Amino acid sequence: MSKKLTGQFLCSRMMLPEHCSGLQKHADQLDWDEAHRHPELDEQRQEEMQQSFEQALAGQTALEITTLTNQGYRFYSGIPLRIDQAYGLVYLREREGKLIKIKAREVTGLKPA
Amino acid sequence: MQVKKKVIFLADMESFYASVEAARNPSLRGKPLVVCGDPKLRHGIILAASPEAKAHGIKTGQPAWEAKRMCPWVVFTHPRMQSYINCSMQITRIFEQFTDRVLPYSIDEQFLDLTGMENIYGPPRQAAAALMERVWRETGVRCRVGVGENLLQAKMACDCFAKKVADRFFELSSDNYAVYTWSLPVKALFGVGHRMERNFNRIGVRTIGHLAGLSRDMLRRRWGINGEVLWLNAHGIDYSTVDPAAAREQKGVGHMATLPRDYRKQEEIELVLREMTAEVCARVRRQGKIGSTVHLYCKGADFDYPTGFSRQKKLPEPTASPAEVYLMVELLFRKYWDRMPIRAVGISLTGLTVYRQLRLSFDSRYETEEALAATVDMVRERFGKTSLFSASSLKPGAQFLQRAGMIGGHDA
Repeated sequence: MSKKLTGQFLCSRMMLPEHCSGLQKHADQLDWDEAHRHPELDEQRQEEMQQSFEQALAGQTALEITTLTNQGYRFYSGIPLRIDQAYGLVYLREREGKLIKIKAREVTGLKPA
Repeated sequence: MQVKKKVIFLADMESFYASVEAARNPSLRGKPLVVCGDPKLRHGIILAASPEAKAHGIKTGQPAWEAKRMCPWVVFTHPRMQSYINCSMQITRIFEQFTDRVLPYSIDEQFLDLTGMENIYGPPRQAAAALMERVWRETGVRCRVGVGENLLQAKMACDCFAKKVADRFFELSSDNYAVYTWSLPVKALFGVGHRMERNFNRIGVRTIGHLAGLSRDMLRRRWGINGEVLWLNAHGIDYSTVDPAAAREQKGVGHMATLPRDYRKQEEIELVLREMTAEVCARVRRQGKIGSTVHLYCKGADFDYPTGFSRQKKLPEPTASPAEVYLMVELLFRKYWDRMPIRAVGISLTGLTVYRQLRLSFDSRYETEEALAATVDMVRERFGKTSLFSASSLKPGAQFLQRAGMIGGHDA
């Protein structure tokens, strides 16, 4: 089917270039927000994650943690050392021995490694 | 299975520029107000008139002096294009709270697809009332809403009826489309301009109903796809969709300007064409694209004897380099210009493709030109549009510096 038949309004749009670029920026921002929207975890999932974390902490077993930051999704694997309740931080020692701090509010997934 | 009918809205802002000005300065509310360009730059026509100004017979497109004669106490204000763009985008954001399918059609018209939302917003009239109320409360702009089962019906409902009724709302459907529209003059149909109206009148078609009665094949044979689209429009049939993603894909970039006076000398016109080519190419590069076809439009100065031309030519290979594009612009201009004074010029670059996707040449000269253009873009991005420009833009007749701070040919 001809483009004119399926898109006569797209063909006849009268838009200023500055308006188009403003809309493009707005659409890019919406796409970015959507890609970085923190998933809402239900109570059951939160409980499961809490349980997995406590077990790993007590038994010093490895965990796989997924976080969502402004830079996108990041994945960590290591043994949890402690939680800093005041600052909302989780301390994790990776396999190479490197100590990392993870913001608890950025965690979107957690499971035994 | 019965196919669910679509619910398409077209929201049209009432006297948009004038409404934005009145919202910014409430002392102007209720007064006859017109937004008008600078007469010194030959932009002294009415861009928007408030309902109070329209009540005195003032219309969009009239010269400023005529408006002054019709209503001596009319208030004139200069356009501020960036504020209108900002307000239009604020309205888009309001609409996006109703549906994610919003398609801005122009600065003051936006399509919304509210199919399947009856359970949330109620019937179309109720949803439209909520839309209008939100826009009025948050921006101070009144809007009118036309509703239909497709974009065409929504547009016709808005343009032909919603603008004329007190409650600013009108709904068309496939069932009542013929009843309401077929008695209207053929020029009221979306897509019929002055020239097409003349063509139709010549064959005895004066109303939309007359057009609907013609054969689809005959219209297609005579006017090609445009004839067929008009036949479909006359029957209220339209296959367009509200697709914001498709709208974001730009097929071409163009730039058009009315000159401050009639240009007669070849070197002066070519100077403006060179500046406009650079502008168009910079915009294409900003999108990371290159174009394959150049289109040049020149409008003669004499209204009584319309002259000028509109021609396009394919480039040897896609590019966004001003030097390469200008060669083609110059070629077209020298070939088709009839030596008559020029009032307006326009250049566009179409057939856009992603940069380097089709760049097959190994000529190192092109790489130097591209590097130069990219550097100029970078400097202008950082220090402003007028931070770096050709010395020729200081010559008489040049337009670059005058137009640098403008949007759509008017004050930003």
